[in-house]
Amino acid sequence: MTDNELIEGFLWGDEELFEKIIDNHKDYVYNLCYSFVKNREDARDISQQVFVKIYTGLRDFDTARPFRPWLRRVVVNTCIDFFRERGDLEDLSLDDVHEAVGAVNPSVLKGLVAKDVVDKVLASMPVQYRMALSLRHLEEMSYSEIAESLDIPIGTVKTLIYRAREMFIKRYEGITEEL
Amino acid sequence: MNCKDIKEALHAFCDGEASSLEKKIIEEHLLYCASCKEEVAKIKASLSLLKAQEPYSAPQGFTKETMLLIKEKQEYREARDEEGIPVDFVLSSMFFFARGLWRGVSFLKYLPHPAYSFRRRRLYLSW
Repeated sequence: MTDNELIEGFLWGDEELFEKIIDNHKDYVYNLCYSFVKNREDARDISQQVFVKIYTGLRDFDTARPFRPWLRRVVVNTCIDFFRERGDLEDLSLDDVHEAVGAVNPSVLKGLVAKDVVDKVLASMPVQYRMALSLRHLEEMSYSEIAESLDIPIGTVKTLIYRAREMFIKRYEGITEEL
Repeated sequence: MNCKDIKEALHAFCDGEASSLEKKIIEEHLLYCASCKEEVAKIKASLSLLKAQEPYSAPQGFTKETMLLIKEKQEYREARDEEGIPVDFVLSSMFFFARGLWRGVSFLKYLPHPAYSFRRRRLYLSW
């Protein structure tokens, strides 16, 4: 059964189909949430919130359209709400790119493989940068799609990605030199 | 165009998101600029690191937990709907409505007297 068939069945009253919808998309939602928040507990809570929202919001979903982009939008919006509540979404200045390299404590990273180092470096970065990089590399979205998804101008996306990668490169190089 | 101006556009260039004009300028610039070439190599290395991230899977029992959460929320909503509107909410809203109404009425005394305004209108017409 395709996503949209499952959704139609659920909307016709077959509640059990929602379990299948969760099963099909839980890893995708969790992974995307984790890439934004970089914390397993928070990622689990937000993913659950996403499915609770979807349960009530599926009535507004147009079944003629693909489900994944709609789902991604719900995930992004839920994560933005989460960051807003925590006060993590503050304006960033250009100086952030040039701030101290050692924002990640290298002693934490001993014995970790490159993948985990990348994870720790991303976790040390500001939320907006992390979101822009995740949407670009995990979701393979174009700049215009990211702009639409985050509701910001395309010029801002370009700057965000530039600053985020500059920060990532500096921090990653700094850590690998120290290790 | 110097290296400083081109730096931000290099990222869009590596992502295949540069405009045709930007692409042409960067390609020409890279022919003679070694430091920007090095920068492009750095960006490409970072791209492969960022793309190589392994996906994380949802924790065990996620579906069951989520379905339980949805049921809990649904039951709470149904219970709230069955209860109807709480009495204290009705009483407090009635109080605030009455207070607003009283204030609205008492504000009328600040308006000009109808007779006075009638006289003024007459005066105005005679001019």
